Amino acid sequence: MGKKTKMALGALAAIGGLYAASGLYVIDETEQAVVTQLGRPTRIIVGSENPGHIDEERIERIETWARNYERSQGYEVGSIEVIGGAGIRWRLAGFNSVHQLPDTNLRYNANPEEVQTKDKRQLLIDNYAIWEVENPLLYYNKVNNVATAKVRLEDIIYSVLRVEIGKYNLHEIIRTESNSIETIEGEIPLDQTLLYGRENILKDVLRKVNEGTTGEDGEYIPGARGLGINVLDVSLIRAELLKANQEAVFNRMSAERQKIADLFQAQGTAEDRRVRAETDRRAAEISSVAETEALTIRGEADAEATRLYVEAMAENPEFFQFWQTLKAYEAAFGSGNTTVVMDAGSEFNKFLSMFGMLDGEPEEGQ
Amino acid sequence: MDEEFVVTPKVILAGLGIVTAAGLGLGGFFSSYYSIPTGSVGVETRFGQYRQTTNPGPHFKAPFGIDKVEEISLERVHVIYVGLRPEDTDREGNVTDWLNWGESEEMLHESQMLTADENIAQVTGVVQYYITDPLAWTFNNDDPEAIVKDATDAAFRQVIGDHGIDEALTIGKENIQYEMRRMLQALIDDYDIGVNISNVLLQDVDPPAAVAGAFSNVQTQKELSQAKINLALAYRNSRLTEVEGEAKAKIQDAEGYRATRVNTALGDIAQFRALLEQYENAPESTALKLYLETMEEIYPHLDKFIIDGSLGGDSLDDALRLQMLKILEED
Repeated sequence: MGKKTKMALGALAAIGGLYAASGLYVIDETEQAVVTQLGRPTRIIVGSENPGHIDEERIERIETWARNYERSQGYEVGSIEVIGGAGIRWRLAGFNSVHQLPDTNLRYNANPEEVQTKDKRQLLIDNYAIWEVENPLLYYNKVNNVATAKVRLEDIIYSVLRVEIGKYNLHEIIRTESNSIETIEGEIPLDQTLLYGRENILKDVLRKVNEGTTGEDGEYIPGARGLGINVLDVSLIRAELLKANQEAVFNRMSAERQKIADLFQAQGTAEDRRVRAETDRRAAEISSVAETEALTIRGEADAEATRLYVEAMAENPEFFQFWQTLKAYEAAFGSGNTTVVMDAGSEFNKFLSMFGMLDGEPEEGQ
Repeated sequence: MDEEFVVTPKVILAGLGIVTAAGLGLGGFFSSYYSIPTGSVGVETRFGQYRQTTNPGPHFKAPFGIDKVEEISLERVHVIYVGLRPEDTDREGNVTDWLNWGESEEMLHESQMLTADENIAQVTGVVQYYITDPLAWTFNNDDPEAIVKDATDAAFRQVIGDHGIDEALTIGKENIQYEMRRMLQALIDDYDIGVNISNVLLQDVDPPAAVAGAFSNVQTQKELSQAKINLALAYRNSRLTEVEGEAKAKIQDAEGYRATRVNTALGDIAQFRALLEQYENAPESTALKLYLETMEEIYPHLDKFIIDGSLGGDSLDDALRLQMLKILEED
């Protein structure tokens, strides 16, 4: 072999090596992919929930779908290979192109939009959705990139939300499960009974977003599944009343507060009166009980004294009477200037005459 | 002849080779060595495929971008704000100034929530969480922090939507915080983000500015009413204390009366018995003596006219009658 031939072979080998190396590609754990050969899909690389592992069940599901797809497109059955797993792979550069697609939960946060409830309340609604690429090839064919996917999702989600929210009164959208609330006056039942509630409404929204539904004007809204997308959740971030509705709410809130303020005032007055009246009653009661007890004690004292006197009298009634009368004189006349005119024959003066006092001249006062 | 160092193409090639090898060696070392600090883990991938999770300490991986490592802290507390944002922090990282709903249209909308009794409340709060599953955090979600924020806004509204305005403003805060945490954790678990919600703290919950006056009026009336009741209670205490004092005094007086009455009686009777003994020995003289003593005691105080009805007018001196009348007239 000549030197030139050698060099040519070496160069060829080098070029071949470079070409082969340029066919290497990496699929991240957060990615899945569609590989096409001159535009025709030849391979689907599906992601897995479990990093470092392959989701066999999902591969099988996509494989079944791929077989139908091949038939519908007139491709040779089995021409699309379905595999799983992240890592480094090789393709024939120039013939095969790799389209990486996300294999994570994606977040879509919509711009606020106006919707109307069944009871004609205007709401400004802001929602978010969590979604994932369920079928890489379908997704690749229908939307291809995340930005387009978000626009399509926004259309679907708002169409469904508008229909579903329009079916219910405002309270069904605000509340999830409560039928009574605590207030400063205690627990009270709410005016409107909850029939369905926010969570159930959002579950319906989610189902219809995925599966498709009939819109307000009767046209069919295709679901996200038809785009190879699975929506995991649709949640309301905001549900805000518009200005005009807000005014009404503020007026009602003010009126309710006024009612509560009046109630406090009335309660204060009533309680004040009650406490004072109760106090006066209680005071009168204490006073009269004490009065009764004092009288009882005095009565007992009198009875006891009388009993003692009676006991003593029994020892010599005549002398007792005499002695008592003397004491009574002393008490009656013992102090102050008293002018008395009395009948000498009275019981009181019995002893005055006893010693013949009235027989002679009365003594001169000293 | 000494060997001469001649720069030939061969030597250049050899030099380049050595430099390249050294460069590759050093580059290889530095792109394969890494260390994970305490409280964190390293998530290693090889060509994008998850390989292993490494613990704190020094580690080697395949160089030149073959293996990549992402360091995830399991201790760092992530914070989410609802209806307010920190505007200024001091050197220790404490927030010194908040952007709140009165100052920002965005915060006004973010904090505005409808209650179960169809009132509007301005709710602000802080949520704290930390990563518990580094793989879920790294691989499962496109933008986990934004998802947690959205889920927080949704959970706050759903819980407030099941409670009345009074609960949100005052009486139900604890309960609401607890429900928010539970609901948010459930949402986060559904999305498989690998996060634990450690705290949901409601900050200020206020009525909207348009009705703030009406709400503060309630507070004023409540306080006025309480003040009135307190005055009444004070009246009750002083009045009852007074009356109870009076009642005790009355009973004490009566007890005093009892003691005096009985003791007087006992004294009298003791005296009586003493006299009786004398009387029984000498009735006539004792009686006379007692009588005279008494008269002595009382006579000085008396202007006395005693008429013996049994005597006729002739027995009584007319002059005496006249004198008596005179004296009576003088009085």
